[in-house]
Amino acid sequence: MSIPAASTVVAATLQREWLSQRLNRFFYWHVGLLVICGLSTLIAPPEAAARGAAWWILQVVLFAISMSSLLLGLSSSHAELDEMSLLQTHPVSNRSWTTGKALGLLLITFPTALLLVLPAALSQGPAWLLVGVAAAAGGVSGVFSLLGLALGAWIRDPVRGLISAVALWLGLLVGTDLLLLLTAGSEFVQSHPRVWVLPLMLNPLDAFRITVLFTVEHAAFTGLQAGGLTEWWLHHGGVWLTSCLAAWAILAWLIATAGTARRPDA
Amino acid sequence: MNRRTALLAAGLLATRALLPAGSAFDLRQRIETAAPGTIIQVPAGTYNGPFVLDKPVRLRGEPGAILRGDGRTHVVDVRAPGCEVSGFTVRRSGIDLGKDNAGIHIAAPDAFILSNRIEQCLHGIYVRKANNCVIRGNVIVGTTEFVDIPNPLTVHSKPGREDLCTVRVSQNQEGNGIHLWNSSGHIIERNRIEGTRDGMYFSFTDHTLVRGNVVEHVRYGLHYMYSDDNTFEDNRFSDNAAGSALMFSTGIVLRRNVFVANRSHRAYGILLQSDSDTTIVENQVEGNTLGIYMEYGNGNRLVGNRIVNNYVGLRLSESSTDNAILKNAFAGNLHPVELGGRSEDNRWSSGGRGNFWEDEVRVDLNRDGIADIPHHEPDLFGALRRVFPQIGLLSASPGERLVRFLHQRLDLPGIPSVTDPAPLTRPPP
Amino acid sequence: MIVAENVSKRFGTRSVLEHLDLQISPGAVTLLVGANGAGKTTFLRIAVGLARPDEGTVRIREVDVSRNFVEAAARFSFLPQAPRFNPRLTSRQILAFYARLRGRTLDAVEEAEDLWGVGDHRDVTSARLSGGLRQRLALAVFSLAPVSVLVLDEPGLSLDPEWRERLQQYLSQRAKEGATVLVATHLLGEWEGRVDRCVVLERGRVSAELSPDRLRAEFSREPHWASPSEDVPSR
Repeated sequence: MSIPAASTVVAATLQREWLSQRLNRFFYWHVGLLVICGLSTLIAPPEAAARGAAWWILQVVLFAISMSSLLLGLSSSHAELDEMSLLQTHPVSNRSWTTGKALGLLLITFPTALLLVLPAALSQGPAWLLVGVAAAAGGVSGVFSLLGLALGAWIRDPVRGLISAVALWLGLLVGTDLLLLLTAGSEFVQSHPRVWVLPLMLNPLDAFRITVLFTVEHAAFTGLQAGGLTEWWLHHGGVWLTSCLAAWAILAWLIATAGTARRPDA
Repeated sequence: MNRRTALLAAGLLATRALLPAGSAFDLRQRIETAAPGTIIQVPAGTYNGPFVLDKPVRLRGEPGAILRGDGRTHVVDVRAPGCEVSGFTVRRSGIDLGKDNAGIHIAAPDAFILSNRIEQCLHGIYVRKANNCVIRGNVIVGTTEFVDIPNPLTVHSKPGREDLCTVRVSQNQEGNGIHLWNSSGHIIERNRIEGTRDGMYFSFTDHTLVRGNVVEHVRYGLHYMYSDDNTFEDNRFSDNAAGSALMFSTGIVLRRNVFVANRSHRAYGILLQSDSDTTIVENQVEGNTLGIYMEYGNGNRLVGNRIVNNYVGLRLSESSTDNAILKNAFAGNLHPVELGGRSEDNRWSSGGRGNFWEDEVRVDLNRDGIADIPHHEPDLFGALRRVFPQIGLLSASPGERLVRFLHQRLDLPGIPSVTDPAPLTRPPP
Repeated sequence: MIVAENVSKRFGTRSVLEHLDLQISPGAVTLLVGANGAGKTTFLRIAVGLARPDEGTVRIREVDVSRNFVEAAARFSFLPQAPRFNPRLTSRQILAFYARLRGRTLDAVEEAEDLWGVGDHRDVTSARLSGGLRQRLALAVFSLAPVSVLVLDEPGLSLDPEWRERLQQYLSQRAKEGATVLVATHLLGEWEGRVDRCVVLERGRVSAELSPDRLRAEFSREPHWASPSEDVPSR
């Protein structure tokens, strides 16, 4: 009789995740997308090239990488569903198992984000700016893969899982923006701007966009005079993005752990 | 021009002062004793000034010839018509802004300032009430430390009409590269200016041709007011803290210039304020905070410009009317058009040709290069920018893009926008 | 030793287990039989921690499964009905993973592969394994655990007679070595003479105990039980 140490479970699960991803078509789509998008920074139309790799990567992460990461996480979760009745009778805590899965996904999504900037770095020379953008892109990608993991742990039917993933992605991509656009004219919002700014700050895609646009790209912004929370955010874009992504990663991990612990008859 | 040609011919015939190599050379004395029209060939070496040209002499420096001022007044003071200063490194003028201290101060017409390098001076070249000067091939460096483009996140100044000169520079950068006041008829060609306060400053200066100059890392690349009928061709104004501003003038022609990467908090590619009958043709306006800003502008023509990758491509105030905006390419701007109010009085097409819009619906069944349906370019944030500046946080957001996409196809009611009745399906060549 | 005390479980308004008391002793192979819906699988799922009882407890070697699952899980090995695996992993990768969780070495993995005849398919992904091979792979995983409580849910369904025979021999041997072996099945005829005890579950309660040597005869007197030919999982 032996209870494996949590580190053993995490390491075994992490290795299993890597082995599993090697045959996951979503993984190859994801990597292929990163390579194509990275290369396209070199052959993009002049306008985009002049705007720089950072701008291009922002678009790519918003509209493509976030989605492919989400599907990567979802597929990772769903690949294990059939085996859960066997796995869950082993002396393994759900927390350790989910941690292993999550770390496996992060170790795949975070470093591969470098593929987005590698062609630009090779052609234009390495730049800390690109490294920062790649790190932020990797963070967003990681968070979305964990969200996919969490989603898959709760929604076990593949079709419903896919629909939910698309819905979640659309909600984060345009839902927050549209809601805020609609409410920006209300007197309440204008007298309580924090209420309006906070959802934007909490949305990982918006936090990433703002950081790249207003910190990395140095795009001017009339909201500088907005003061308060907005000004703090714009002054600390990188710090906030890091915190925001970390919070989302932890939240997704907690949700995934709770979903994994949920028994089929619960 | 005839007068200028005659002066050049006279110069060629003028006495050439040849000097024995290695002998001591007193430049001030040579200037004092030179006959009008003398060409003084100045060998390499440092010559302490200041130098006053009160007769039409031609100073031509050989490589390594340095004119060094006393730090109290101009290094070279041109007081006689038809003088030439060429090939020198000019250093150390005074720094009294009230006395307009300059590397080369010109107060007489028909001066030729050619191929000099001017550094450590308040103003580089100052032209005061002197017409028909040729300023060509000079390099003017205000300081070894370039004006850093302020990070928009650290600039706190309130924007507004009064902020046109609020981008601060250090004391030793208070002078301009080329300062022109109350004069006319100059040719300013192929100069390079960097690190000064303003690159070129025009005030009450008319009928001047400005061609092939490069101005970088200054406050205003071009600071221009009360000056009419000037032509700017093939110049490059880039990485300047506040961009270029042209104010209270008429009859300006801007052709094939590049206004690029002016990206501070309130930087303009081109600011046109209270200008009329300006022709802005085939310029590249790229990567600026505000590509082109037109306020109180009437009868101006914007034709064939590339307005790309700016935060705001073109801002039109409500006070700007009867302007023609044609055959321009709008691409990659976060906000292609920003409106201060209604904009019906401006023309967005002529002769069945409008502008190229990156996001337009390109339906062109007869393949004549003109889209079959009008293009509606919205200013989605509209008046909200003023009452709720936080709205800017939604710039380039997928949600904003989605609404823009829908408006361009459906012309949603209640959203301020401009309508181009004949959008081009390809950017103009 | 598996001890169930007063175990009840309901799904909505349907009661599946009602105050079930059951004790499975070590050193014997115990068969748990019953018709579809009798509560066999539900009881097993509660016994191995895959479900929680509404009432009562199941203890495995004195450890309450519901309260202290991880510690209890270290004391038993479970073979689920119709097991499936991550389709992207090979049988060797699957075995290596569980061996690591159970603190076993690669030698133990190879031993399990040899025991259940999956060594020739070690590099085949589980998605490409036949039903029988998948079942044997699950048995290999099952036998990797160094434990003395063995719980199996319909273990013979996908196995051909030869491997079913080998499984029965394996379980008998483990029981002789002192292990507690609990097998839930409705193919009770297959197990005649191979088990030490047979408990009948009916409507969530223990209704009878059959003679291990006369299972076919006993079976024929119980017309409401499922036919042995209906190899349909109860889930």
